[in-house]
Amino acid sequence: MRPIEWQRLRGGAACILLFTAGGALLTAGDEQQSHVKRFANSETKLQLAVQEATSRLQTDPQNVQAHLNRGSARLRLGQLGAALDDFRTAVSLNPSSADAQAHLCFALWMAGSLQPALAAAREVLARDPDNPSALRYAGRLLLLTGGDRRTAIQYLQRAALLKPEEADVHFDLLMAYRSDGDTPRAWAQLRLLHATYPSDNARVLYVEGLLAQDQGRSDFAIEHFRQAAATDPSLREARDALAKALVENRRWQEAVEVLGSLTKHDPQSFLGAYLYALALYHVKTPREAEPEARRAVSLGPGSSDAYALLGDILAQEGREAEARAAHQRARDLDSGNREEVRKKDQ
Amino acid sequence: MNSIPNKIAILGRMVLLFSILEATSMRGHPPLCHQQTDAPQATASDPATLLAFIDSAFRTHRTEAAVAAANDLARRFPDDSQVLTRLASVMAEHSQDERAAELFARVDLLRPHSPKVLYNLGVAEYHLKRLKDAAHALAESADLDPRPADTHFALGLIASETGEQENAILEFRHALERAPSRADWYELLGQAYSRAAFWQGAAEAYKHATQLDARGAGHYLHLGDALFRANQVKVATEAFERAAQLDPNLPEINYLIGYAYRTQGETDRAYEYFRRQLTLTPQHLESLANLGAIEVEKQHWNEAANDLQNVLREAPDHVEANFALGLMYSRRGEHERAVEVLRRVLRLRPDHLKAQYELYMIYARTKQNDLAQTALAEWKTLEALDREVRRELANLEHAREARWSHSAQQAGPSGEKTAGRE
Repeated sequence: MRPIEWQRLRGGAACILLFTAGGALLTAGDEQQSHVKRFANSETKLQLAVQEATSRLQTDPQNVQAHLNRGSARLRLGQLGAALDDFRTAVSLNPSSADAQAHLCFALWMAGSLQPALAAAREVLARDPDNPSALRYAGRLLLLTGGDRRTAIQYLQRAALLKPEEADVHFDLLMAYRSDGDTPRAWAQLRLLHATYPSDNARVLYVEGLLAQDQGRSDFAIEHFRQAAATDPSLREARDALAKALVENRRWQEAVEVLGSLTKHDPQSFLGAYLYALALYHVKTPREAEPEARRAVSLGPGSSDAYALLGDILAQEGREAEARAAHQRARDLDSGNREEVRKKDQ
Repeated sequence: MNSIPNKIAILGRMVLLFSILEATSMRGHPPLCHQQTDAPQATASDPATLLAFIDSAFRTHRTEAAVAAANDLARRFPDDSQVLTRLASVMAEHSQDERAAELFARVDLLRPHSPKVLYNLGVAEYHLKRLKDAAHALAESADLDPRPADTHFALGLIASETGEQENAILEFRHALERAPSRADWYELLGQAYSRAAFWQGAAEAYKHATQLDARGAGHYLHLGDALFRANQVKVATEAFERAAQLDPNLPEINYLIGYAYRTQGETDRAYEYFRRQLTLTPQHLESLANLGAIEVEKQHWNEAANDLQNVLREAPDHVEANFALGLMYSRRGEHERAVEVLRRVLRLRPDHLKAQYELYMIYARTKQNDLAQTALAEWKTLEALDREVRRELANLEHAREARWSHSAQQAGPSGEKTAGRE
C-alpha cells in the first residue's frame, strides 16, 4: 500500500484555516435588544436582518449601509449570489467606501473567487492602509493563493495590532508562521491563544495538535485533535486531522470508528471516503471496504490513490480483471498527473 | 496552571426546580410536596384530589398509576388552563419533563403570553436538553416580564451552555441586579467572564461570591485562579490559601499555592506546598517538576535528578522538567548532556527563552565562540519575540477591559468599582 500523501490529496489547501469569524461581540445597542431577538437562532436573526434592511431599502434604495447589512446577512445565510449583488450595489453607490469594498472582498472570497477577492482587498488597502478587515483578508488570501508569505504575515500582524480584540487573527498568524517554517513565532502565537481562550477551546486544541504533529509527537497531536473534535463536533478541520493522524499512525481500529462518523457527517468528502476505505481495508474484510473505495472513486475520479486502493481491495477479493482495470486507471492518472506537473514546471 | 472545572451542570437542575415550585406557589396553588399520606384514589373526580393522588403516587414510586391518572386528568380537563398548569407543575417536580413541557405548551396555547407559563415551559425544555426551545420560551417570558431574576438566570445558564458567553454575562448580570445575594449566581457570572478571558471581571464576580458565602471553598479557589491570571499573584495566593483552609481536600490546591509562591520567588514556601501535594498525590507530575526545578536552584542534585526523572518517565516531553534537567547538567558542568537536553526543550518549545539563553551560556563557558554567537543571536530574536508577545497580551487585556469594565462595575450589587491591580 502506498503511503498517503496528505498535501497531494488535499491539493495543498489545508495549510490555512478557514475559520469564520467567531461570535461577534454584542454592542451596547445589542444589549438593548429584546431577549427574543438576542436568543433567536442565528438563521432567524439573519432573516430578520434581511427583512429590516429590505424595508429600509424600500424607502431609501441608495442606502449603502442597508445594502451592506443585507448582504452580510445573506452571505451568512448562504445566499452568495444575492449577497454579492448587494455588495456590488453598495460599491457602485459609494465607490470610495473602503468598508463596502471590504465586504465585497469577503463575499468574493467565500464564492471561491480568490484572485478577484485579493484584488478587492488590495484596492481597499490602497485607499485605507489601516483597514483591519482588508488587512486580514489580504493576508489570508495571499497565503491561500500562494502569494508572498512575508507580505501576508505583515498584513496579519498589522491587523492584530489595529484590532487586538479580534483575537482570531492569531490563529491565522500561527498558521502563517507554521507554513513559513517560523516555529518560534508559531509557538509564540499559541502562547497568546492560551492566554485568550479557555483551555478547552476546540480551535486552540486543534492548532496545538498541529504544532505537536509538526514535531513528530503524534500521540500528543492525536489526543489534542480528539479533544478538539469532541469539544466542537462542527470543527471539521479537527475531525479531518484526527482521522488523518490515526491513519498515518496505522491506528486502524480507532480510525474506522472516527471515520465512520465523519463520513456520516460529511458524505461528500472525498478524503473521508478514501481514508475510511483504507482503514476498513486494514481491519475488516475487503468486501466491507469496497463500497467506501467505490465512493472515494466517484467523489474523486481524478485520484490515482483511490483507484489504486480499489484495485488492491478487488485483488484481495480475487476479482483479478476488475483489479487490473482499477490499477491501470491509477497508473494512467499517475502518468497524467506527472505530465501535468511537468507542463506546469515548464 | 490547570483549569478549574465548571459547575454549571451541577447547579442546573436544583436551581431551576426550585424556581418552578416558587412560580407555582406564586400562582396561589397549594404546595405540591406535602401529599405523602392518606393518598386519595385515582377514581376521584375533582382535580385537586386527583392532583394530590398523582403527586402521592409519584412519591411512593407508583409511577405507572401516577402517569395514568395524569393522562386521565389531562383528558378530562383539556381546556382548563389552571388544572393543566398545576398538573404540569406536578409532572415537572417529579422529573416528568416531556409531559410537563407538553402540558405547559398546551397552557401557553390556551393562555398565551403568560410569562410564568412560558418560564415553566422553558425550564421543562431545558431539562429535556432542548436548549433552543427553552431559550425561545424563556426569552419571550423575559420580554413580557423582565422582573423575575430566575428568568434571566435560566437564560444565562442556557447561553453559557451553548457557548454564547456574551449573552450569558448579560443575563447573569440582569439576574444579579434583581437578586444580589445569590453567591452561586456570582459564581456562574465569574465562570462566564473567565470563558471570555476577562479575568478582572471574573475576579470581581468571585469576590462577591466569597463575600456572600464565606464558607465556599470553591469560590476562593476560582477567585485565586482569576486573580492569578490577572497577574495579581499575591492576592491570588491568599485566596488559594483560604480555599485550602476551608477544604483541605480540594484537588491540587497545595500545588496551586506552591505554584503561586514560586511565581513570587518564595521558593521555600513553594517547596513546602509541593511536598504537601505529593504526600496527597505522590505522582502529581506538575508538583514533581516544580520541586525538581527548586532542587536544581538549591543544588540538591540527587533529589533534583530523582524528581525530574520521575516526571520524565511518565511524560518524556514535559517541557519544564526537561529544562530543569538541562539546567542541572549545565550547572554540574556536564555540558554535552546539557546541550542535548536543552536542544530537546527548544524542539518542544521553539520559543523557550531561558533554554536558549542557557545554551548560549554553555557555549560561552566552553569557549565555543561561533556556537555561542549563533546561540546569542537566536536568544536575541526570541527575546524580541517575547517582548512582542507580552505587548500583544497587554493589548488583548486592554481590549477586554474596554469591552467589559462597564459590565463588571455593573455586576456588583451597588455598582462597586473593580479592585485595582497590584
